[in-house]
Order: sequence, then structure tokens, then C-alpha cells
Amino acid sequence: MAQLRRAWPLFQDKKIRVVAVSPAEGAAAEAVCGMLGSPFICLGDPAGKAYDAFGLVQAEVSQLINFRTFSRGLWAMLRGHRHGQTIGDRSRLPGAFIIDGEGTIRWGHRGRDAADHPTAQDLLNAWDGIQRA
Amino acid sequence: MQSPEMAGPEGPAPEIRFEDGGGSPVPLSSLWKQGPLALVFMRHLG
Repeated sequence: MAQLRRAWPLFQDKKIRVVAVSPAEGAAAEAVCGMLGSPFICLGDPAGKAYDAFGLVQAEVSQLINFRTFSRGLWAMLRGHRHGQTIGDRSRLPGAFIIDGEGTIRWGHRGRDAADHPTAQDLLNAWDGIQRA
Repeated sequence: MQSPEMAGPEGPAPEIRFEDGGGSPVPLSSLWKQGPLALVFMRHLG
């Protein structure tokens, strides 16, 4: 979420709105986003229906705990990020999608494990690719 | 870093609803009708 926040002006320049979805109640999603000073829209999906609809499944244990998730977590901690209280379904895999103004999914990424999520730059590059196509 | 799997067009976005801070439903279509959006599914809060 921090890198999305830092990249916010770049999304604004490209007129892309960012919507962050969490597997939690909407109130919790909004509260955490507010606490972190997130400028984008934060919504909840407590029943996981949206995650299901986008093919973001509940992870196997090996997708939650492996070398990559451990090393990414350690790296984040070394950079000063701290893991707060977990709210929501912690087994959901992450993902990101770009949807155009006609309602078509133009690009998507489904996490292969808990640490596999695209960067803000990946999203911006994907949008540039869509624009060039 | 392993590069993310890029996907091409996947067709229409599903008709789903999210929940806002007040507990009200927010249809996905109400979001994309305002223009392109990056929909980012977080793993969890916290």
C-alpha cells in the first residue's frame, strides 16, 4: 500500500483511479487506509465474493509460507515496515486488475503466493501498454 | 524480483459489489463508469 501511495501522482497524471480492496469489512478497510493516509478509494469484501469472482483463491500453506514470502517480509521489516494486527481473511492471495471505462478487464495479475503482487510501476507500465495497443 | 504474470484482455468485469466504510454496497460498475481504474486486491489489512 505504501508504494501505491507514493506513486499516487503518477496514477493521477494518467487519470487512473486506484481502488484498494481488502478481505475485510468496509469500515475496517476505510479506517486502515485513513490511518495510513492513503489517497485512493478503499473498499471491503468481507465475504470474499469479489476475490472469488476475480479468481483470487484462498492460499495453500505453501503459498503463505515459503522462501519468497519470508524474504519479502524480512526485507519490508528492514525498511521499517511493521506488520500490524491482521484484519480479514489472511489466506486470500493478492491480485491487481486494470479495468477500462467500458468495463473490460484489460490486464490482470493473480498472485501465485502471498508475496506475489505487482508493483505500482507494473500497473503503470501495463496501462501504458494498453494505451499503445 | 520475479516479474508478474501479464495477462491480456479478459473480457467484461464481473457484476460484483464491494462494501464502503459505512457498510453500503458499491457496485464495481459504478467505479469503472467513471473512467479507467486499477483494482488492487490486498492480501489482508494490517
